[in-house]
Amino acid sequence: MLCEECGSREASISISVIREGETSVRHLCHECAQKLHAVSGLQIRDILSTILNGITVAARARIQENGEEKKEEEAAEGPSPEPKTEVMLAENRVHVVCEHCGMPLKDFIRTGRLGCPQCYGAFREEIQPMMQQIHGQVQHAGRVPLQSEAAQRSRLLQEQLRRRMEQAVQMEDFETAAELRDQLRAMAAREVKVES
Amino acid sequence: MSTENQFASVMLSRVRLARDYADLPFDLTEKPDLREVLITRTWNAMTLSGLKGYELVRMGELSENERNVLAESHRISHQFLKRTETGAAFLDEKQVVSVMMMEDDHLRIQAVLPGMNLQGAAAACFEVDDALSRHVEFAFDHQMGYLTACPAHAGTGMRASLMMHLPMLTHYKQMGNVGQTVARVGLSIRGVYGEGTEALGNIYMIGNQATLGRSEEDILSTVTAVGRQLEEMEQVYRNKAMAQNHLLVEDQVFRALGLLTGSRLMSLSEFFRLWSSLRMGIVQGIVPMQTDVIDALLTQVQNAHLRAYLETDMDGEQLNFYRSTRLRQLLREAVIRKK
Repeated sequence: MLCEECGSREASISISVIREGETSVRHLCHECAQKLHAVSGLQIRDILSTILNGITVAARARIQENGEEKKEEEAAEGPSPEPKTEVMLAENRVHVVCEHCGMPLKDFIRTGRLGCPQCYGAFREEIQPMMQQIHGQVQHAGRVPLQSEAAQRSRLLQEQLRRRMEQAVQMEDFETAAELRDQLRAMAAREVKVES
Repeated sequence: MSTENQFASVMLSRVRLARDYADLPFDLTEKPDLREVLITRTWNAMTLSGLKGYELVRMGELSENERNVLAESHRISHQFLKRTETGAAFLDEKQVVSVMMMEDDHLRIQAVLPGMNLQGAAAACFEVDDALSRHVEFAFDHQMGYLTACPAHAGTGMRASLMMHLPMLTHYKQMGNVGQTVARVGLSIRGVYGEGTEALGNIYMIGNQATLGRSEEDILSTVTAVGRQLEEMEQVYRNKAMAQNHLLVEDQVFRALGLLTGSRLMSLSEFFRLWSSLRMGIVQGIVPMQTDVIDALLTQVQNAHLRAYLETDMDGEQLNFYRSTRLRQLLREAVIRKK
C-alpha cells in the first residue's frame, strides 16, 4: 500500500485518528508520519492538546511548518514538549486555575499534564469529554485502593452507629446512646491515628 | 506441539501500574524535599507490609552504563532513563518487579516475566499495589479511578504489554494491517528497538491504550487474546514461507547462524537482523536451541551489557569486535548445553 500523504513511498505505519467518536485510519510512510508529527513515539500530551483544541487539521499544518527542522532532535529526544497551540477555551474558563496547586487550565491544555490530583476536580469540565475521547468511557471499572475500600466500609458502619444512636436518644435510652457514642469516638480516633 | 512452544513468538509479558500519592503535586522535579518524602513513604509502606528483597537504587548514584544495563534488561523504562538526577527505584532481587519513582507518575509499579504470562506479571504488580495501599493514600476518584499526572493513564493506570517477535508478519508486510486491527480493540503496537517506525529485530510491543472504563481482568484478557491471535497469524505465515521454499528459509537461518558465530565486527543493527532470522529458525525447529537462550542473547550483547561484562568503556569498532567475540562464546555454550 502506498502512503496516503505523498503517494510515492510504501506505507509502513497506520494511525488511528479518533475525532468526535469517529475512528478513521491513515496509512503513511515513515517520512510523512514523522512530518505530520504522528510518529509512534508521539507523546500522549501532544495528542491530548490536539484533541482538546479540536483542531487536528490546523495542528497538522502548524506542525508541518515547524516540523522540518525539529525532526532530528525529536528523533533523539522525543517530540518537543510545547507545540505552539492556540488554546480555544470558553471565555469563562480561560482564567480557571486549580486552587490547590495553582496550575492554570491553560497550562494543562498546552502540556496535557496536570499539576496535582485536585486538578481533576478543578478541570472536570474539560477532562470529562477528553476522557470519553481517549478511553471511550468515563466510569472507572477496575480495582479500588484497599484503604479506600476499608474507608468505605468504616463510613458505612459509622453511619449505622450514628443512626442507632439517634434512635436511642429518641427512645430516651441514654445508656445505649452513650455506648454508641463511645464506639463512634473510638473509630474516629483510630482514623486520626492511621492518617498521622 | 508442546505447550511450552505454544507462544513461541511471545518473548516477555510486562504490566505497569501508574500510582500517585493523593497529597503530593505530580511533578517533583523542582522539589527535592518532597522527593525524599515520596521515597521514604514508599519504603516505609513496603517495609510495614512485609515486602522483602527490594533494594533502593538512585539513578544519580549509578553510572550511565549501569543505568543503561537496567534499561536493556527491561528493569526500568526508557522514560525513566531520562530521570538521571531525580529518579529512584526499588528493584526486587528476583529481577521481576521494579517500583520506579518520579518517572511520569510518583510510582510506576512494573513486573516483567518471560513468555506469555500477563496474569503472573499483573499479580506481582497487584501484590505491591495492595501492600502499599494499606499504608498510604493513592489519588483515587470513584468515577475516574486512579488519578495520574496525565489523564491518558487514569482509571486502572494499567498498561499490559507483550513483547513479540513477528518476523514473518513483518516480511509479508502485514504489520500495517495488524496495527489497524488491534487499534479497533483499543490496543497499540510499536517496534521496541530502533527509532520511529523501524522495528529492529522485528520485535514489537503490543499493549492496551485505554486505561479507563474496563477492569484490569478485561485488559489482561484482551491483550492475551490478541497476542494469541498474532501468534497464530505469525505461524501461518511461517508455514507459508516454508511451504513456498523451505530451502530459502533454511539458507537464511543458517547464514544468520554462520555470521553470528563467524564474524569479527558485528554492529548492533546487523545483529538484530541476524538474530531475528536465527530465532525464527529456532522456533521453526530448524536449529535445535531453546528460545530462552536466544532471547537472553538479545540483552547480553547490547552495548551497555557488553561494556559491563568486560568492565571497559569502549565504542565503535572495538565494541563491534567484542560483540562478535561474546556472541561466539554464548552461542557455543548454548550448543554445548543442548548436547
